[in-house]
Amino acid sequence: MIRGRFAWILAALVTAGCGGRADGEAAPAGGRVPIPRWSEEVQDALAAVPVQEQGRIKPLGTWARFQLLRINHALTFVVSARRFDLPADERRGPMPWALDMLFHPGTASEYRCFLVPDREVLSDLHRAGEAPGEVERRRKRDRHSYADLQPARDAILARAERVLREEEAGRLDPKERTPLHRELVLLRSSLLEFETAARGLDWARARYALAGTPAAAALYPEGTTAVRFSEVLREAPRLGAALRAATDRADDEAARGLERFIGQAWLDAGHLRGVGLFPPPVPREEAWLGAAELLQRAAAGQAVPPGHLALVGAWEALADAVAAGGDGVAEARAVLERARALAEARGEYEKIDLELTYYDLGPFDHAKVLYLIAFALIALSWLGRFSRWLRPAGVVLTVAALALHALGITLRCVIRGHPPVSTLYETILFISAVGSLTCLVIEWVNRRRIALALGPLLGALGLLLAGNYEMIDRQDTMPKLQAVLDTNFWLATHVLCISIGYSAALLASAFGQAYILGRVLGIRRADAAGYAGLGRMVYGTTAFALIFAVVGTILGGVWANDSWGRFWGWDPKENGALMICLWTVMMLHARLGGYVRAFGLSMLSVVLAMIVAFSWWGVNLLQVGLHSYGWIQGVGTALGVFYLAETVVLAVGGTWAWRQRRAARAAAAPGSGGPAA
Amino acid sequence: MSDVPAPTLTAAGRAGPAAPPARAPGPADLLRRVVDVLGSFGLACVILALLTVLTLAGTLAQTHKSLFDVQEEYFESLFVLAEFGPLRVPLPGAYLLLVLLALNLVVGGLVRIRKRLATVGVLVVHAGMLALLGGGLVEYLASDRGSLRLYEGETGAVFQSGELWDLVVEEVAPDGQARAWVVPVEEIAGAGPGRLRSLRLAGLDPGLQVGDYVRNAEVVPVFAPEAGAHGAPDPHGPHGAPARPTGYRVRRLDPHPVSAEQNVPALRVLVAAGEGLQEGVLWGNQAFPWEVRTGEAALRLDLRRREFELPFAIRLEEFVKEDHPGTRLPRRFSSYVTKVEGRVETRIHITMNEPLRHEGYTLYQSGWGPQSEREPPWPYSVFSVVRNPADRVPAWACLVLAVGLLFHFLLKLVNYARAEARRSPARRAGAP
Repeated sequence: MIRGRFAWILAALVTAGCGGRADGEAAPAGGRVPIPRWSEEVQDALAAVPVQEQGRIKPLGTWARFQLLRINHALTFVVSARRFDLPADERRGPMPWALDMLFHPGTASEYRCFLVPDREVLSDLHRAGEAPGEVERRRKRDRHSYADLQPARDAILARAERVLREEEAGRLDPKERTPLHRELVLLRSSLLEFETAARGLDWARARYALAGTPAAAALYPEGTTAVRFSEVLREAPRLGAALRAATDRADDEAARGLERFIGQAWLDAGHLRGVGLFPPPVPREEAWLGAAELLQRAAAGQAVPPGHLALVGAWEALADAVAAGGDGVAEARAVLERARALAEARGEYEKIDLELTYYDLGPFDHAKVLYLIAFALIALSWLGRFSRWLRPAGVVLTVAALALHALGITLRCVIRGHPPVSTLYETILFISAVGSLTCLVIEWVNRRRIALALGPLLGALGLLLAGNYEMIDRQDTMPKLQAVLDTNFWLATHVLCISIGYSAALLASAFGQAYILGRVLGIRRADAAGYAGLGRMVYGTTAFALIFAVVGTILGGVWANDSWGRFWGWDPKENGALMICLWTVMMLHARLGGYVRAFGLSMLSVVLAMIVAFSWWGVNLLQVGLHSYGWIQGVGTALGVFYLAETVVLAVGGTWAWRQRRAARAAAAPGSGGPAA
Repeated sequence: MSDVPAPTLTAAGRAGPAAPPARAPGPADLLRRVVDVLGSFGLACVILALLTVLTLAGTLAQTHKSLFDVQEEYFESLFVLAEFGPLRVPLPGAYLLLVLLALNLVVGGLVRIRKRLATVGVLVVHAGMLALLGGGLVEYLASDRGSLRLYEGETGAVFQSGELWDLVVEEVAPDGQARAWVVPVEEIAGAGPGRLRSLRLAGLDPGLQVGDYVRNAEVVPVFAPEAGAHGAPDPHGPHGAPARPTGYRVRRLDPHPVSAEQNVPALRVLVAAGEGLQEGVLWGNQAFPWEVRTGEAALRLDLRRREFELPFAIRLEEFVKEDHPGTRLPRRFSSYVTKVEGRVETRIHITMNEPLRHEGYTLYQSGWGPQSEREPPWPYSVFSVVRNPADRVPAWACLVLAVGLLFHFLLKLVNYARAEARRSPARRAGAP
């Protein structure tokens, strides 16, 4: 094996490279850094190049999006005109940033795109003399460039790795990381991911000198002094054979020369870990290969197919064109064509264009805006003026937003090949869409304009939540599913039923809270019929929630019975669903038995919303059980705010009801002047 | 429960028919009142609210207790002292609440409910709920569960419980004939630390005493006190060489906070051998049974996980684990097994969501190992094995419930839509 034979030289080269400096282009000292410009054509072509990451074949554009999100915690960052050669500050998005990182790593290392949420992480290092003093002058939550962080890079990595080692040894509980430890570990990941990507195309830029390696030079035309990676790859089977022959005949000098030559190329090609750029030449294999793996296989005797060599050559041509200051349009298109041809030959390109369309279209962003406008129009219509025009306009916009919302969900289903809900992120999209749709149906039945207003509001809130979740999670929202979840039948039945149940329960609660606040604030006090109608909506949506919650929960039990051998295991997620069923049934029985009326039912619906929040998000915070797959930092705070708000509604409603009752009793008491009992 | 005739209120000052002359309540009145309460909406609401609170408490308790313990404490008990942070709140256990709920369902939801078209759906739902509760009861009382671990090429017909243990006593006669007695640990768990109790096993001569039962323990060596300086036990002999322990003692550990399967019990046993008593410690992880000579015979005592026998055998032919390409995220676990029944062998594929069901037993793909290696040269596969007579009840109950709920609420929805249409023709016309 090459790896075994070259152990000593690889170790030396890795050591040389482990400083992690993104070399290639150094930023001019003292002056403003020139900024690379990428034409739309180049960006579009390269965004469509298929790669495989985390087990999924996706466009390079998607990889760039989540790469930037992980480091920057947002999809754009500001490039300052003070630091860069720009007439004014400008925002840089994922694709230009990724191209800078791949082709101009020196410039990319100057971008302030590393979000450090708490300066304390770096201040601590500063006090230890391991971070630059400038850190102290920055805001508590601020963005830094790789170049800013580079002096403290080794110290950050060492500290984070100490935490990880302690956790691995069981001396620290990963669930109870301190904020400092959490930030350190995240910053370590960001730095390593940047370094990985910034050196990811070293092989495409490099030239490998043949001087001192006559055994290698003999394989190339006479007079060749240096060769490209593609040429090394083409001759790799012969280079490998020559190395084995030299080793067999104990020709140490020739063997060392060949080891050094192939080893350097192998090292350059091995930086972009975890991202497969080349479809495997063997049809039955599924894992895409990096350049280093191609070289390793070739050196072991497997000739590289012409299509793969052409793709390697296309990347090199693009790197050359960019280095020469060209626009690189033709070269970028050549990369795309060759990569697409290889992927299409395996039937693995078909969803790339659809995914690009999905991200280009941004259906959820547009739907969110439409929902908000629709809500504003409907709210204005309550004022009375122009309501004849505003209300239909609100309805049209809500329908349009819902159509976009549904289109986004449908596109995701087609891309992933799964029913609409299989991740926590997708629950938000689906639940908010169902909520909006239910509101429209209710409005169609009763025309009270309450559901009409709540529909776009819920849709917008849901999509805002989904967007925030994506920013907090910072992971591909279309991941591969773990083994037990990889079943479309149960995803389409149990998960959808439960999600519809959540949606209806939250909607019931929204109507209930509208009822409580309306009563407490005295809005349309005389409209008894209106409040009675609203009370019926609380009841109806609660009943709707009950059907889906009960059926969904039992279907979950049937699934668990098929997967794990038990119908019910008192797992936290199961318990959350059970609590929703129990509470909903209790609400309906309390109403039926006459223990509560519309106001009481509304109060109970507030508790129902709290239970849904616990089941949907809260159980993940417990980090126990079989369904604990959705732990997200930051959810705890949001959940706390939600519980606080709901508690306030309960307290306000309870106080109002108590006062009403006391006033009624006082009025009914003998001698109060009120009506006789 | 739905549409039960509302009780007539006759308290002073409230509307109601004229009260008949007062008479002393008889047993029939008392029974009627009990039935009224049992079938009431009020009781249903109280039970459902308590079940919700209990479920919440049982969920929160899982952060610091194993699921097995939480199940026993909260969901298989009559009463529980529920923990809400620092607070301890006495609550009825789920067992009691579910029995009450079943009574409430039967009395209020099936017997006393008005039978008419509007309540057909409710009746069906209540019947489905009862079936579900009945299935749960059957599972609780009559199911066995455990796991079976097989290496490739290995055959097995016995599965072991993860949490339940047995004390196994075996008497081996001089001619090699052996008799065995199996005592569930639950029967001797009352003999906790500092307590001893006699154990009588039919047909076994030597008297046995068991005690100092500890649910989770480790066994540590004991060294002679004089071996160390300052009277402290010293695990090292002269010149730092390891000293020989003079005995072993049980060190009590807290129950495992996450998995009850990790608990390893220990027990002190005294055997009347000849004129004296022989004392020994049994520990779940000991490699061999403890053997005592009792006259001519030998007595072997062992603590081991409860075993159940399958009516057929399973041979693991091949275990396959597939990851998503380029990752270590598992995509599929599969076991290719052969089911052996006498001379009949059947090849079967068991994978996630596709268990083997046969003879009332179900085998699920639940694990594999050793997980320290990506592609272990000698992999083993772990199957969860369950015998549950009510295995398919939940699926049927789900169907019944869905039909009942849909029928009932669709009826309500139609009535609601009609009423809305009658109530607000102006709104329907779109007037502001």
